Amino acid sequence: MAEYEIVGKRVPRVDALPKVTGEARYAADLTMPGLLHGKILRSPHPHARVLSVDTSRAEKLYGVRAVVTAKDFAGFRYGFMASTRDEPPLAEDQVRFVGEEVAAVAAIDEEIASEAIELIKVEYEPLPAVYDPEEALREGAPQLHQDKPGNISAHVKMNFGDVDAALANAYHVREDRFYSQSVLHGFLEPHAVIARWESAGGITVWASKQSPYFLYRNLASCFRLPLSKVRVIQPYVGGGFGGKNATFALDFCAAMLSKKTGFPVKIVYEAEDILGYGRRRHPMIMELKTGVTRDGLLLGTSCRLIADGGAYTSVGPMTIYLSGAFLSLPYKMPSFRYEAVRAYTNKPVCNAMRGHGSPQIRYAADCQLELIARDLSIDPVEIRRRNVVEAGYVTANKMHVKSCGLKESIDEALKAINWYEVRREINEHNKKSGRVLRGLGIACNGFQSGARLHGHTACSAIVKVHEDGGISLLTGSTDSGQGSETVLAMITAELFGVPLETVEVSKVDSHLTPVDPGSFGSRVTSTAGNAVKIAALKARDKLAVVAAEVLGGEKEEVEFKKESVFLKGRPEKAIPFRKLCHLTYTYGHGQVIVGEGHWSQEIDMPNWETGEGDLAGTYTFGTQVAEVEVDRLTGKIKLNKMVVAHDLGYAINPLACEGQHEGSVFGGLGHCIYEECRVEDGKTLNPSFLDYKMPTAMDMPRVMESIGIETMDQEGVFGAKESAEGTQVSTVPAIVNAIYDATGVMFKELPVTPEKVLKALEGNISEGEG
Amino acid sequence: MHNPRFAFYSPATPRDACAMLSKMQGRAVVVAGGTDMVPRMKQRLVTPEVVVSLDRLRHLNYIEEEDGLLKIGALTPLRELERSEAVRRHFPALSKAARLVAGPVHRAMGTIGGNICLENRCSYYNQSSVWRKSVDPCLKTGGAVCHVAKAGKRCHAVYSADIAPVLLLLEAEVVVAGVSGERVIPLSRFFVDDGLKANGLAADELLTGVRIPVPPVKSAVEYVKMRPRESVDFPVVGTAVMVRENGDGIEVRLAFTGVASCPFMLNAGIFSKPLDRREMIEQVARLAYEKVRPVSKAGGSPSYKKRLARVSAVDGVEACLAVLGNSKGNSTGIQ
Repeated sequence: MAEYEIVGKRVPRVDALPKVTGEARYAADLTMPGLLHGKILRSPHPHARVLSVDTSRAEKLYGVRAVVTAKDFAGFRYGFMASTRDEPPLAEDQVRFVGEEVAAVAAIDEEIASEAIELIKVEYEPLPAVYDPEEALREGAPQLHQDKPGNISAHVKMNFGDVDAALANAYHVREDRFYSQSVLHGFLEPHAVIARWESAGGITVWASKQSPYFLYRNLASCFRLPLSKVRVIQPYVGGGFGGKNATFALDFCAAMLSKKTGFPVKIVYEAEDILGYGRRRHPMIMELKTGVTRDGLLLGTSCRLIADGGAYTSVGPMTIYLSGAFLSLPYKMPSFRYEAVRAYTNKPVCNAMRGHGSPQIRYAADCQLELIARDLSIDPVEIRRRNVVEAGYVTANKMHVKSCGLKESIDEALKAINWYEVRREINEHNKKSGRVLRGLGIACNGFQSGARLHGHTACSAIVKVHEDGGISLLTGSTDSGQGSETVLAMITAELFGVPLETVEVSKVDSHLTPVDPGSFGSRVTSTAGNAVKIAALKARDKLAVVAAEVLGGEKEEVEFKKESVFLKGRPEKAIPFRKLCHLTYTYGHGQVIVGEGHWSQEIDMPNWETGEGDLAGTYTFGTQVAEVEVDRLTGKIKLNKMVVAHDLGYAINPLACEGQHEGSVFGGLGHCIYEECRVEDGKTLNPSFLDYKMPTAMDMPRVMESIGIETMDQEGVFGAKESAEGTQVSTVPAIVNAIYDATGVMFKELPVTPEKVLKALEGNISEGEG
Repeated sequence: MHNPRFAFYSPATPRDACAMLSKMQGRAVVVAGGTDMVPRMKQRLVTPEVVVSLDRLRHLNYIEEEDGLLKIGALTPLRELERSEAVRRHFPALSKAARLVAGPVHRAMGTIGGNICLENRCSYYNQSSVWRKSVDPCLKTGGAVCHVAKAGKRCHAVYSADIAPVLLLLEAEVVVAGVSGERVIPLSRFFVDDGLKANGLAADELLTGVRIPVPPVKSAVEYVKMRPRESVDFPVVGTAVMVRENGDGIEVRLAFTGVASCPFMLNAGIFSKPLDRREMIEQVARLAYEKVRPVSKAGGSPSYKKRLARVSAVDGVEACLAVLGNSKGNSTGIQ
């Protein structure tokens, strides 16, 4: 492996200091002359016809500058694909969930805007509502969308190999039903936007987005503007986790209110807007029928899935597509059949969230594998080892595994937790029948390293070297908190042989930075990283030409190291990097040093109809091991240790990877034990960080170990693959399997609350399932 | 969310505060640390004309020992209650209960007086004005129904302050100031069993201090807090246990928070020496399970909370017995 100066080192983040000192400015911090403040009126009904909206009193209130309603948007709908555009910026003649946006006001201050909202009179005619996805799909259920009969928001079918024969010939077949609940992204920075309508025709927006180019496209189509007239400027972003990809009511309304008033308009959501009425992870009901050989080798699985989509479609079709496609990783699954329906319900909209569709299905599939292992008296580790995919494997749905460190990740995870010894200890401990039960669990994952979607999918970068040797990196990708600015800066600095501080990474400004799909599908390091490398090398080439002439050699011989430029093998005769930059600018007629690069996975588009084909250029794999304690008298679970061993190709910044892994433990722990949107008659009862129980630092495991398995992937920049979302895919099943080990009860419904545990432990559980 | 508009009054004495409260006839609120009142104002649960801020009453921030009493000023921050040498020496359970309140930032701002006067809480009530539009008004907001138990006619909002059950067992008294002077009442008579109203303070009264008798007999007190997370959360069940010598026997008393509209005490009885430990534990467990009857589903079902009450009471007794058993000159007959 090559020795690098910067890449591969545990480097603190380039944005750490401004963030911890409070110098970093987020969208809600921004202000500008003439700024108006907007507020949004929401529906108190889960389902109702909107008979009339009377804004006259609000308009007359002192300080109110404009009010907008659905009429202003003239029937505009947005959505993920042309066929799924079912969401208006403001509700038209029907509201479909409690909290749906109905009107918006801009006023000279927030208080007046709030007061004006209260003065808008909306006449509703309540309609019967449906909250349960299974009920929504039944005949006679209240219908949410006229043009979507049966409340079917999306429907995905896949069928690979002969599943019926596989199940018929299997030595053992298991059928289980699992449920993954509604959980929230939990980013701490609320949605916030300032939109300014430009008199010359166009919109400038400052918005908290992890994928600002979705907003760019949505605003262009909503306001019928050429794309180049929409300027999206990205401030610092305080977390996204999939929840800041889309465009929301506040974005459209701020722009419309600015257009109407001629002044910039700012809208900042409250925590309640997000926790009570905002996007969330899809709850899923998953029925799996799986057949194995006597040795526990998987033969096939038949999966029925119902996703609870909420009132609109959002990216839901992709969510349920991914849940199906990833039935085939990380274990060899020679045949599978998948049928998924995403049901409309009168609840807030569900969308992508860290791991997008995978954590739910992996929870079901990996926990079922645990039960299969028990049925066949096979060691849980052994059954996984027998089924793991390896490099060169092609899945039943034609996904190509290029690099794969799954086996190594199992080995390393077991070693880190001292599995077999702890196993013996725990067995001894649990025999004593004390108050505390202990358990050990394992689960594996496979994930896409850089999602490849339809539409524009390449990442691009521009590297500009200043004449004093400073470097500006312009990319369209967003650091929503994951640390990608640092990683991209490291790649650039490494290639120029300069210290990290030399590189400034710009934030997105769609007038200046190259277009980018966004920060989703774990694609920034894996995709933008390659684009940055290409751009940097192009810019470096220009320097190399001048260096070769000055040093009397060939361009190909020029090396860049430690702020020096020299011919290979002759470091004693070197030019300082800064001097070379200056020389290049003044050389001949003078030139600017700019390099441009773009990169995308070179794979065919999948067949969205059949589900066949690659979803990414390469895939990541990993193993997680959890050690838990369960209090038999209270049901309380304590996650004591968690090991994340991830095949990340190559760790460009192991410190950042460790942060990602700990983030996954946090997210998965919350999903597994603590978090749930408690919805009653369409109302979220816990729309605050007090009542929505995200774990606190005190609930995190005492011991967390992060292990990078380096497989030097051919696709990835410096061999790197994703080490982000993939690491949250197996957190839940690892913990649930550990609880199963401790209690003998497999919990098939999330979250595994202490109450459920206690109930299961007190009851007579003949099946060993809860 | 922003605060409603209000006039701000910062009196120099409790008497001035009471005078203003009296003048405003319920249209004023008192703010000490603000950790409970400010969110309530932002959510428009209260829209006072006047906010009476106690920020100038610095002399009410004290902990001192006098005449066999530990006297604590109402404006003593919970953090100081948690850290005070005197509190830790005499009443370690009180220090512990203070340490388990909310998070560190709340404890820095929140006061002992504010914690005792914590308003009763409910999932259907402690919500923003926007959220509350999606439900019919309840008993607490001028309606005729309780969303927690629709059939009943009473409000089931829950009292959740952590320090109250410990103070009840310690037989604390509170000093209440009014326009015409001070009165001292036992804490046990301070609370009212009403979801609508947590305590019997009149609209023009102010809690100014707490007094705890330093116990003459050997006793141990423990506080056990059951909550989903190890920080921030209110108790799902908060149980205080006292075990002390009483004549020839060992007396056990319990007090609970988080399970009803007020904190309450239970006498588990006096157990003769030598102690039948098992009998004592069984009796305590039975009593806690039977007498704790939560209605609210927040934090878990009522039957789950009953179980937690049982476990926490037993845990508390065990902890107290361990303390007494370990103390010098063990005369309790506790092994």
